Amino acid sequence: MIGNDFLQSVGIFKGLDENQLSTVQSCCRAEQHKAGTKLFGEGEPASHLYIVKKGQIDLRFDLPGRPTSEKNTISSILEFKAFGWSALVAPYKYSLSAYCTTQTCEVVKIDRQCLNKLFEENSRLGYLVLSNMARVIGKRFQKLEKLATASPVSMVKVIVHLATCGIVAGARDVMGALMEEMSSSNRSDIKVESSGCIGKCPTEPNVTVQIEGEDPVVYQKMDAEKMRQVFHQHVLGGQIQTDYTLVEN
Amino acid sequence: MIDLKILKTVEALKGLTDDQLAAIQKCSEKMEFNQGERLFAEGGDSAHLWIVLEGEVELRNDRPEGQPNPIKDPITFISKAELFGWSSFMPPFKYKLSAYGASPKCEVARIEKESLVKLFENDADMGFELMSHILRVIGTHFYQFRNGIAQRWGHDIMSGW
Repeated sequence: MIGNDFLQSVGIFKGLDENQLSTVQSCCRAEQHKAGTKLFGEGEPASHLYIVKKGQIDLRFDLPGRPTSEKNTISSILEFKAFGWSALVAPYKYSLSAYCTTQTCEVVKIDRQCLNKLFEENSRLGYLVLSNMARVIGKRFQKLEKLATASPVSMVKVIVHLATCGIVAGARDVMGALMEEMSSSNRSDIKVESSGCIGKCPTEPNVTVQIEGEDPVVYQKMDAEKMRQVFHQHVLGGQIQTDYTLVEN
Repeated sequence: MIDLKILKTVEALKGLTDDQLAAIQKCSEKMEFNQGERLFAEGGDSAHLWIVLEGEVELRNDRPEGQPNPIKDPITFISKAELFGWSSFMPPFKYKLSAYGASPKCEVARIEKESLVKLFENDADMGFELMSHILRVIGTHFYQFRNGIAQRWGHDIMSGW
């Protein structure tokens, strides 16, 4: 079930009233995907607009005869963000491929024809969504311009170890805090991933920070607050937070 | 006063009624520029939509030497009855290119974005019609820019293997 609470947190539906949100809801369908699943391919007809409900979707260009890789990622889409808006812009073909890059991804699919019909019936709804969409594209444009001046190989990766032992110890809260910080950081060159247990169950939740050209750093016994500190001080500021690094026995 | 007949020929305004065009006419200002004279500068606050009424306007990249600009925007010429200045509808609301008069006589209509938004608020049909066009233009530019990056990175990856 996709509630109005969720939809009103999505940028492209900002300013819509309860009735308008409910009509949009009628065009929505929730889907779940596993890591590595391709949601749609470059050049395919753009039949749906998508919103990430949980996890991370990478938009990548495909190279002939080559497997997909994170190096092909142009944008990473996090929770509450829309993607696949080619569904609303001619020629209505996806310009990149979309892959689920977290252990699981929950997305909301919005049928293009259904949405267009709503816009025809209610032009105020259409005007609001398209105006919001222009703002969203503008912000993505800015991010992309910044990214274009950066080296595509200067990668930073933050891995939250989300095995059962990690989840029991609170890894989901850690991932949630990381996603929130990512959303406000405007740093699309940072990749967020989840992975399994690293064999250090007593020190879960564990988080690994990998910065190109440096040794990976594993943090132990993380919580949301520590994650925010590590994100700001280490991931963004380059200062390893030694108080929380994994102690090998 | 801008001739309604010209507004009727503007592709982006073709779906609008006479009353809607008259409302746009009221918040438009006619301006004249000489060849080579600048209408607006890249990076400046983008608060207007523009329509060429007579002659041609050239959009070009003006960034000073030494500033990063990996993917050059091509020089574009805007002809009679074409609309430009769509960056007034998307953050950071700054012009992405500079505009110069490109013909001996260059006549343009300058439409204040805020007045236009007020019209849209009162007449959602007009807002939807025009935003559909603006979104198409913005989307096309975004795709072109993104494809440029994908091509460059794709080339780097292929040649690195």
